Amino acid sequence: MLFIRPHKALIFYIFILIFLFQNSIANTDVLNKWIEKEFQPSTLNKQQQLEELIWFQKAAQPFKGMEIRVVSERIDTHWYEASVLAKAFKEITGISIIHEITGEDDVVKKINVHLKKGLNLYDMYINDSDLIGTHFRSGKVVALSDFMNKEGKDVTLPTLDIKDFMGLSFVTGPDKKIYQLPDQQFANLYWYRADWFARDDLKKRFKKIYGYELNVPVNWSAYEDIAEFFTIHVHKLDGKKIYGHMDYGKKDPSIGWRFSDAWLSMAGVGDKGLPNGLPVDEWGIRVENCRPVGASVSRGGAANSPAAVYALRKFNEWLKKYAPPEAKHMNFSQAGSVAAQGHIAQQIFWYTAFTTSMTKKGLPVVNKDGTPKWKMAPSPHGVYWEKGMKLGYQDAGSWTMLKSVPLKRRKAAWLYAQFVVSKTVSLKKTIVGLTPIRISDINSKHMSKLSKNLGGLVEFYRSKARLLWTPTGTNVPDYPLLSPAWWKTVPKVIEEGVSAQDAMNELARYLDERLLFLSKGKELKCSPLLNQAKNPSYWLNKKGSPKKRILNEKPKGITIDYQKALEIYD
Amino acid sequence: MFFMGIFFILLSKTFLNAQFIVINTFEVEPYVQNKKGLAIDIAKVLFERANITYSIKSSPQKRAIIRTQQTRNNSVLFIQRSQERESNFKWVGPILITQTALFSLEENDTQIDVFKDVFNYPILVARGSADEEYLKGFGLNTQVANNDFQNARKLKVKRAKFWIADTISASYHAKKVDINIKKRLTLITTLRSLAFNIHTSDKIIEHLNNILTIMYKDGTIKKILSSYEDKFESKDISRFFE
Repeated sequence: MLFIRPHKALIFYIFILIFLFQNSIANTDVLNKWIEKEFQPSTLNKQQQLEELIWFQKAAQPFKGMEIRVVSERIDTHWYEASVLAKAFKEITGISIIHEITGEDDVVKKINVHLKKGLNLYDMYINDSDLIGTHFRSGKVVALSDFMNKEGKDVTLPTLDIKDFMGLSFVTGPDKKIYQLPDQQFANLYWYRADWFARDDLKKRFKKIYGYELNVPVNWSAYEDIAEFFTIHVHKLDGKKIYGHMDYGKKDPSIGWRFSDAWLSMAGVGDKGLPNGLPVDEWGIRVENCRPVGASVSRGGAANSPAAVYALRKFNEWLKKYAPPEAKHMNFSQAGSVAAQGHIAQQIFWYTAFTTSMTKKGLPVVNKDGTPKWKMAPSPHGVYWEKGMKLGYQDAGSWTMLKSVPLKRRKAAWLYAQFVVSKTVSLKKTIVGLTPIRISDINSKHMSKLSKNLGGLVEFYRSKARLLWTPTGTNVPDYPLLSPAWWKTVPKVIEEGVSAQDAMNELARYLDERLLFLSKGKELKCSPLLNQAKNPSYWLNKKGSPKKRILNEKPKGITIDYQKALEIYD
Repeated sequence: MFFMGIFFILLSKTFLNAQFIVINTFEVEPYVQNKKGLAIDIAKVLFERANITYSIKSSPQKRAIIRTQQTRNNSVLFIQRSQERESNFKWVGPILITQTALFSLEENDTQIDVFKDVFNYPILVARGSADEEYLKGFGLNTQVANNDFQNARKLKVKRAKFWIADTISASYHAKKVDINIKKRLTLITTLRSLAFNIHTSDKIIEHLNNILTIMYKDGTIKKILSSYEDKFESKDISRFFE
């Protein structure tokens, strides 16, 4: 440069400036194109969106040209990420994304192979936060709260606004560190045909038989009465056979999810405490000083307690008495679309992830103006449930980073993870997939406008009731190892006529054996340490879970107006 | 106590030696071909290290799977451990991790960033393959041939611009029909496993899974994979070991 004469140097610098200016204009064009074409609406204004995208563009410079691999389950939200947001991210940052879509079961198997066999299959996973107990104990998962403050500080979005995430408690370990970042959330709620429940003839008939109003059930007694009412008493509506209940019972991993997700919590098996009961959670596992000490009643757990047996007995009874006969041979995927066919009056356990598919025009459950004939409401609870306990499940697919992945790849993947949850794109993503993660999105004017078509989704997420719907928590020390217990034991009641008590005894034994196996692992943080087995009465006579048998397990049914159904949890 | 320990080790070894397992296989070039190939090599080392005697039986895929479901001491090599199959078998795996990808001829310069970008093109895929099932789920316009050898030939004569296949299989068949192909996009990674009859002893399953973990960690699987370098490109799979 010293050898260039002054006027030539000036020309050279001007040339460089023009080049840089043109380059920045071109890049801004790409950003504006995506802001205008795709990322509307947003809780940010367009200038704020532009600033956020410029940050991504700059932070991604060292990783330009890399190909990053991530995997997630197959729901609309992730398909939108894989087909639209991944493309936008590449155009904006120059980082290519392979975003694979597969079943959640497969995602769990893959992360397990990655952890146990030491193979770097993906750079990051969108893995359900149900594995939080596995992740914080394994020592192989990066605590994102540490990463954001240390080695990942230079690639952490200043406007990420971590406190804006609704599901932060789901992804936080007992050590108060954040291990995962929520990408999408959906809950299991009560689903019912609001149009049928509003019919005067049916209301009068129900009251005459049961002595109270046909409305949203607050407890399982009312749910059972309504199920009986539609299946047995109403039987046919407008010339078509109808049913008061829908579920599934085939021996398949998905029957396990029904139970491990929330069934026992709805019955009231665990202790009070949010997001999960302490010391006993909804799997029936007792934890003392962060160490699981047993699942069977004899060790202080509740997996085979009277409340757990009641939960399984009711599940089996309702499936056989009130659901369509084919339901007991169905799995999750087969059963998912049945309510949309228009012959189901209510479903106690319905995933809000189905909202989009349940609001399609032309369906028997959708009015001509596009509004749904159905509504979702908080699920009814069993007789053992008490205020202060969780009442249902929330799936929180969350970004998970493993230590074995090289730092440079982790940083590039972290940029993509933050991009798909950034405020620039998250409201649009919420509208597409209806799996909200940010408080700012759910409280936005746009969601208010949409709410009349979403059957109560917005109202649920704006209420405090949402705090009672939570994923599997930290009491479960190894989710992939322990979760098969559910589908291997529960279907025996449905298919083989085994008693609910025997099946839950087998489940408790299965869990205890594996907790014992894990207690021998040296590398596990807060590893299990089994209590000595004692006479069950020792534990059943103590306060809290495991709870003593309640003699009247079917008290009077209670129902409530839809409007008040959310308020009772405030 | 010491003698008790020795006794139990001997007892357990005797128990495993007494086991005889039939490994049912079906043709999936180049993984399994005439009872030889990459998957067979891995299974042989696994059983030998586990001290379990075995025989290999070849039959069509459906028959191999059904026989394993219905007959004790039978297993089927190299199937996907899917949710639908999970409760029908006991599992040892993954024997190998494979990838399905989108391919085109080297000179094809169509811009492809995400899977959705090829939704408007007809795509070659092998009949009855897991890939065909996967694509059906997306409602794609597929051109189905009996096997990937035929698909490689169709790509060569430009009957379609894109081909979806297992990466190792695509590389193997492309070499066979002498074309230069380009991987455009990885679509899905698959864990391939050894499925056992549901009544197989848990001890055998646990023992084989432990040996398999060691084979991954001590580099055995990687070594077997690299012995096929001259036959096909396997860098996508080898990358998992880095």
